[in-house]
Amino acid sequence: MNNLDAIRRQALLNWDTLAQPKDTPVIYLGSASCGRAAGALNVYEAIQETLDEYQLKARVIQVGCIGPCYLEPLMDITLPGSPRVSYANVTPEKARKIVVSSLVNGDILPKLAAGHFGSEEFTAKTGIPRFFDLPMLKPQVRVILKNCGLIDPEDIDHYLAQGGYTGFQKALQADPQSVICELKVSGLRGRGGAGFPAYKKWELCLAAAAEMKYVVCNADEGDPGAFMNRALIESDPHAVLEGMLIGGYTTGASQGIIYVRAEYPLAVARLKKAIQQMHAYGLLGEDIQGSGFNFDIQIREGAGAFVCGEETALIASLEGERGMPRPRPPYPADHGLNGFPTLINNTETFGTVPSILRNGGKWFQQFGIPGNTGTKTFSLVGKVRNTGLIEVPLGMTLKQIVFDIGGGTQRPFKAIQTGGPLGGCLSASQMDTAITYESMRDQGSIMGSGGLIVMDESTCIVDMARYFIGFAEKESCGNCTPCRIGTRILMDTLEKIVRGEGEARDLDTMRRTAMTMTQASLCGLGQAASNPTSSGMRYFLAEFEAHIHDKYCQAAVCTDLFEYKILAEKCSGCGLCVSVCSVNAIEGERKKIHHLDGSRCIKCHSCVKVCARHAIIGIPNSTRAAEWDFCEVLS
Amino acid sequence: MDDSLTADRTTDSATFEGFSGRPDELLSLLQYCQNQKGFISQENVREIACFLKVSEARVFGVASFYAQFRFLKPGDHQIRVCMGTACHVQEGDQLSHETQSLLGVGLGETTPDGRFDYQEVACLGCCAQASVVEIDGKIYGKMTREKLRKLLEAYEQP
Amino acid sequence: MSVTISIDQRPLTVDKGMTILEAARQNGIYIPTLCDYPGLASHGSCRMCIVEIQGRHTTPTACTTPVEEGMVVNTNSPKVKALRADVLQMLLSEHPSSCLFCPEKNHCDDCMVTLRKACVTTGCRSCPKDEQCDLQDMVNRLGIPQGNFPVRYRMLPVEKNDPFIDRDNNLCILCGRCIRICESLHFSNTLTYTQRGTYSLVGTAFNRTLLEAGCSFCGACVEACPTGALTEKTRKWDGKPEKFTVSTCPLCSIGCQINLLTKNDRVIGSLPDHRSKTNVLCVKGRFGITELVNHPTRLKQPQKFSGQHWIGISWNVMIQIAADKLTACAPKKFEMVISANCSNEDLFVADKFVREVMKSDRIRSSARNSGGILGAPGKSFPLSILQEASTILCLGLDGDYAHSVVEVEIHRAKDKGAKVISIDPYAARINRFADVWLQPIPGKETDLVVTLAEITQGTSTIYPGQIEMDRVSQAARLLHKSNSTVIIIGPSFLSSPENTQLIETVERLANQFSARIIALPEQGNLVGSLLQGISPHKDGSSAENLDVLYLIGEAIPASMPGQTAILYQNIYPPAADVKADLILPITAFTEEQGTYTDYSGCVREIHPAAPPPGEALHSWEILCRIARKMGARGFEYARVEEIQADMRTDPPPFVRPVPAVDRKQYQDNPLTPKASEHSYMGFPLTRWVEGLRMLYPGETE
Repeated sequence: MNNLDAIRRQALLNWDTLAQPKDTPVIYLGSASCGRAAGALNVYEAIQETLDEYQLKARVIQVGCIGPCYLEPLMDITLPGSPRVSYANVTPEKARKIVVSSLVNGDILPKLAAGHFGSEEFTAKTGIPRFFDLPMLKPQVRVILKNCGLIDPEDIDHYLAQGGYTGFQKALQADPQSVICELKVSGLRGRGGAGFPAYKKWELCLAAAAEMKYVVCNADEGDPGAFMNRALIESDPHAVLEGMLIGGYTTGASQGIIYVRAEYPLAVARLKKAIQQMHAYGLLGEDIQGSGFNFDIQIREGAGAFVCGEETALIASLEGERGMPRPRPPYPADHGLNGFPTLINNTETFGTVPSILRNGGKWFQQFGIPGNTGTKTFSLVGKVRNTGLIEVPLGMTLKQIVFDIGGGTQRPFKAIQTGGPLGGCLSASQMDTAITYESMRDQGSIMGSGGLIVMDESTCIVDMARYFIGFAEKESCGNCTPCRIGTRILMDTLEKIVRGEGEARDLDTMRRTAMTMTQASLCGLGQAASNPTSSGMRYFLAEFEAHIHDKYCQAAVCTDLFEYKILAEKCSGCGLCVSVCSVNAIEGERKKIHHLDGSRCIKCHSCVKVCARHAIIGIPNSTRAAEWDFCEVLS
Repeated sequence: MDDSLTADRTTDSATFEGFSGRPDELLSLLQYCQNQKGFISQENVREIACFLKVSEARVFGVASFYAQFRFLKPGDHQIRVCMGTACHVQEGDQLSHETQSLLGVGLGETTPDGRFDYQEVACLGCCAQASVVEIDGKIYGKMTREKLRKLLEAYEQP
Repeated sequence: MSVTISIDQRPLTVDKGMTILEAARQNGIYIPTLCDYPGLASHGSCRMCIVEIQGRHTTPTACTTPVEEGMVVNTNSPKVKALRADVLQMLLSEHPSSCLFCPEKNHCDDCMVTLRKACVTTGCRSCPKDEQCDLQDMVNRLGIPQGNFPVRYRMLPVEKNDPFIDRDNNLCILCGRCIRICESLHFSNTLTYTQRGTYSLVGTAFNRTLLEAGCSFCGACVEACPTGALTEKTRKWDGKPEKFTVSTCPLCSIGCQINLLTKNDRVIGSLPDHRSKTNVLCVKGRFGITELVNHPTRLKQPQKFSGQHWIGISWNVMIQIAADKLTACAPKKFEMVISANCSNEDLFVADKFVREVMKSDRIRSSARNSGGILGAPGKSFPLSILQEASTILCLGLDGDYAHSVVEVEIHRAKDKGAKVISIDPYAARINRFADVWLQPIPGKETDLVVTLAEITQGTSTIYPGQIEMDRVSQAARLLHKSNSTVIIIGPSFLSSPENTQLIETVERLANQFSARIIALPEQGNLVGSLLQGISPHKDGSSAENLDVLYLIGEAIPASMPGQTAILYQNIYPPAADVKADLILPITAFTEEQGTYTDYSGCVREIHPAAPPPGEALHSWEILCRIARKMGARGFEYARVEEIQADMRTDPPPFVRPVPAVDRKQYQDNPLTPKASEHSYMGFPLTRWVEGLRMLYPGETE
C-alpha cells in the first residue's frame, strides 16, 4: 500500500510538471484509431520532422480520443507559462506551421486554435474559448471520459496522478459487501445495453460458491456505429482494468479476461502495455498490495462475430466453441466460463466502477435521474455536424443531444437510430424522449451500447431497415429457427420491396415474422433484430407504403425506385454536375439549364453532392413505372 | 538389420509453442495460424485437431463460424471496406461497389494476379470518420470514390 | 426436493432440477418438440416447445427452463399456439413440401395418379421419409393447411458419394440431433455445424465425404434425423417397416442386440435395440445385414452336381443321397468343418451327429483360436468393466468401423478420466485419442508387446536402433501408476501368427497389474463353438485321406484332392473354381430361432424376422433328417426348444480350456478354408455388401 501511495505522489509531481512545464514545451496528439483514420500519424511525422529540422526541444505525447472526432486530428501544445491549447483538423502542413510559430516565435496563433484548457482569464486574453465550453462539449458531463484525450494511455503514472487506483485501494480496505453496497447506492446499470443493475450481478457472483471464479470484460463492441468502448480502452485503459480488479476482489475471482474484438488492434496493444505496467507496480499477480488477493488479467481476441457480444455466446467463444448463445438459466454469475461463476460486464460498466468507489455511490447519483442514475457515453455519428464520442447524464433528451451537442443536421433532420443494429429508428416526433432504458424500450428501440446514428432526408428508412436486417442475417448464429429463418424472410421481403416488387401483404408478413422473432428467439439478437424494421414501419409507415404501392423512394436511395431530375428553376448552369458525372449523363452549357438523361444515370449521387443549390432531386421512376403497372395487372 | 519395432510416424502431432493443449485454446490457436500465413489451411486444421485431441470437424466447425478466419490464400494486399451504419449512411455501399469494379473481384475474392483481396467488415469503430477503408491494417477515413481510386493506384505501383 | 407447479391448470408436484418438458412428460402432458432426442442434452434450438410462463414476457422453451416453486405454465394458450404454428411455418418455408400440402393426398391411395420413371404407378412419394417424418407429423398434429411464409428453396447439393448414407441438406431443419448424437456417442464428431446464420449447414470439415472425414458409419445420425436429410441408401424407398424383431447380430462376438426391420416378409434394415441397452452398432450390423441376407444369389434349392451342371433336386432325394454317401464313409475318412457363425443349436446337433452317427471326432471350425483366453471361466470380462478402469490397454483394436461399441465405451471411460494406451499398427481413430499410441510395424506386434512387458518388469535393455522407446516407457509408467487396469485384445491380435506368445505375454502383464482382460474374437459364436468342444484344429487330418468333407457355413478350401466328396451346406453358392458335389441351402440368422454365446460367455438369443428363401432349411433340421435316414436315434427334434432342452442336460464332452494352436501347423493344412476378419458363412462381407468395399478396399476376395 505504501508503495503505491509513494508512486502516486511521485506521479503527481511529474504530472504537475507536464501540466505546467518549466522550460520544455509539451505537444499532445490525439492518436486513437479515429484520430489515425483522420491522418494523425502523418501529423506525428510532421511534428517530429519539424522538431528535428528546427532543433527544437519538446515532449511529444500521443493521447487518446477526447471526444469531438469531427475536429480530428487534434494537436495540443502547452508552452511554459501558458495553458494547454488545442488545434483542430490539423494537417501536416498546419502542424508544422503551428509548431514553428509557437515554439520558435512564441506565437500560439490564437486564430487557428479551437480551444484551451486554462482559466477564463486566458479566454479573455486570447479570445480562444475554453475547450470544454465548446457547444459540443458544454452540456456533457465527463465521468468515464475524464482522462480521455488528456493523459498518455501508455503511461500508468498519468492515470495514478488523476487518482487512478484509489478506488481499488478503498475497496481493499473495505469488505466485498460494502463495495456492493456502494454500487447499489450509485444505481449503476449495465452499460452494455440491457441495463441490469450492476450490483445485483456482483452480488450473485459473490454468493456463488466455487473453487474459482472469473471476471470477464465484454469489449466485443460489435455494434456498427458504436466505438465508445474502443475509444475508452485506447484512451484510458487503466479505468477499465481497475474496474475489473475491483470486480475480482469483490466477487472473489482470481482470473480476469478482457475479450476484445479483433478489429481493434490498437486497443489490444494498449491493453497489453497497461497490464504489463500493472504487474510492474504490483497491481496484478499474487498477494496484490499485501492483501492476499491474487488476480491476473488475460487478453483474448474475438474473431469477427457480433453475436459474441451476447454474454453466453462470449463465454462459449472463450471455451473454444462456436459463439452460439445458451439458454439462461443458468446465468453466468452462477455457472459461466468452464462452469465456474463468472462476473461478466461491459467495458463501460467496469470503466465507471473506479470513480464510483473513489467518490462514493451517492456522488454518482447526482447525475442522471432516479432509476437511471449517472452518465453514459454515446457515439454520435451520421449526418450530424458535430460527430464524435460524447458523455451525458441519463435523462437528457434526444433533441438536446442531436441539436445542442451535435449541432443539428445540415439537411432537414429525419430520424435517429439508437442502440445499434438491434435498436429502432425514431422520428422527429420522438425527439423529446429522454434517454433512459425504459423510455427507449417503450419507443420501440433500445439504449443498447450507445450508438446514435443521425439521419437526414437523404436517408431512406426502408433502405436502413434492409441494411440492418442484412447485418442481423449475417451475424445470426443460426441455431434457433425464428432468428435464422426470420432474418432471411425479412431480408427477402425488404429486398423485394427495394427492387420495386413489393406487395400489399409484405407489411403483414414482416409484422408476423417480427412478432415471432421477438417472442420465440433464444437470445437477444433474435429478439431484437426486427426492431429497425418494426420501428421503421411504426414511425415511417408512409415511406414503406410509398415503396410498396407507388414504387417510389423519396430519399432517392433505392436505385430502382427513383430517377434524378434537374429542377430548371433551381439550376444555375454552373457545370459542376457535368464535370463529376462519370457516365456523361448530364449535359448542359454554362449558364444554361442542365439536363439529366435518366437512362444513362447510374445513381452514384456524385452530382447531388456537388450541387450547392440542391437542384437535383429524385422523382418517381417513369421508365420502370409502366413495367410495374403491367405486373400489377397480371397479378 | 532393421531393429526397429515401431513405425516412423509422419503423422506425429504438431506442437504449438506457448499453448498447453486445452480445448479452450482453440480460438487462440486458429488466430495464431491465421496470423502466420493469412489463412487457415487444411494442414492447420489437422494439426490443431491432433494437438487438442479433438476431431477436425470440431475445429472446422468453430473456424467457419467466425468471420475473421479464411480458408483461401489472401492477396498481397487486403482491402477491407467498412460496412458499419455510419459508413453506410455516408454511402459506404458506393465505396464497396467501386472497389469491386476497380479490382474486378467480388466479396471475399482475390484478384487473379494475387495482388489484392477484397473483404467487407462489419465495423472498424471509426464511425466519426465515415466512410472508412482499411488497407493492410492502415485506416483511411472520409473516403470518397475519387480518393479510393487514387489510393489503389498508389498500391498498384510496385 | 420437490416443487409444486401448475401446467395447463393442473397442479403437479415434481422434482426440483427437472425442466418443464420433463415434468410435463412425466405427467402425460404433450408438448411438441423437434430438436429433443432421448439421451441427448436439451438444445433449445427448434423453439417448438415454447410455453407461456406467468410473469415472463417472452415465451421460453420448456426443454431448457427448470421448474421453480409456484411456476404457472400454459402450454396451449392462443398466443403459444399461434407462435408455435409460425415457427413451424418458418421451417416449412425452406422445406420441400409436396408431401405435406398436396391437395390430392387423401385420394392418393385410390388414384395413384402420378407416374414416375418406373413401370408402376407409385404415387408421388417424393421423399424417402414419407410417413416416417417428424416434420410431417408435426404439421399434421398442429393442423397446418398450407405454407404462408415466402418460400425459398435452398438449392443445396445432395451428397451421394458415401457408402450407406445419403445426405440432402435441403431437407435439413438444423435440429442438430445428428451432430449431438455423433458428439455424445463418439466424442469425436464427424458432423458439425458449419458457417453461421442463414448459411448454417450440417456438414463435415471442408465438405469432405463422410468416408474422408473419418465417419465410422454407425448410423446413429440417420436414426436420429427427423426428416429425410439423412437416409440409408439400402432402404431409402422401402417406406415404413411393418414389423420389428429383436435379435442378436452375429457378425462379431460382441453380440449387440439389434432390431430387425421387415416389410413384405423381407428384412429391410436393422437398428440398435435401445431397450436392451445397445445404443450403437457398427457398420456391419447397422448397414450390412440387408444386403447380406437378401443377396440375389442366395441358395434356395438343394442341388447336385451331375458332372456337367447343377441339377435341382427335392429334399427327399438330397437326404437320401447324403445319407448314402455318409453311411459308406469310414469314420477316419470323414471330416466336418462348421462355421463359428452358426448358432449353438446348429453346433450342438452337428457335434452330436459327428460323434453319434459318424462315430468320429473329426469336427472343427476354421476360426483361428485364441489360446486359453476365450471361453475359460474368469478369463474374459464384459465391456462394462471399462467404466471402472483407470488405465485401458488396447491391443489391435480396429474401432474405426467394426467394434464401434467398444470405441464408445472407451471414450466414455476416457471422459471419466481413464488413460488409454493403444498398440496398433494402423492409424485408426482410437489412436489419435489415446494418451500413448505405440505403432508397431505390421508383423512386429508381438515383439512390441513383449518389449512393453519386459520394460514394465524392468527386465529389458534398450536395443539400439529401436525408436520410440520413450513412448514405451511412458506406457509402462502409466501401467505402473494405474490402480485398475483393463486389457482389451482385438481380433487381429488374437489371430496373429504368434498369438501363443502374445497371449502368454498379455497374461503375464495381466497378472503383474491385476488387470482384467477383454478378448474379442471375430466370429460371432466362436466362444460358443469352443465351449461345445469344437476346436479349430485336429491332429492328423490330411486331405488325401478323406472320402467326405462336410462343410457347414464355410467356403470350400482352395486346393482339394479330386476324390473327396464335398457336401456344401451354406446360404451362398460356392466360389466357381472348386466343385461341390452336393449343395444344401440353409437359413441365415435372420430366419432362425436360437442362441449365440458372446465374447464374455453370455448367451444371446436370435429370433426369426423373415421366412427363409425358397426351400432353405435350418442346418440342424437337415442334419436330423440325414441322421434319421441313416437309422440313428435321438435326432427327432422338431423345435429349437427341444434341442435347447437337450443342451442343458447333455454334458458337452470337451469342456476344458482349449490348448493353443501353432499357427504354422494350421497354415499347412490345405483343408483350411480362408476366413477373413470380417466374414459371414465363410465369405468376406465385402463380397455381398457393396458399401463395405469402400471401407475395406483390400478385402474383396
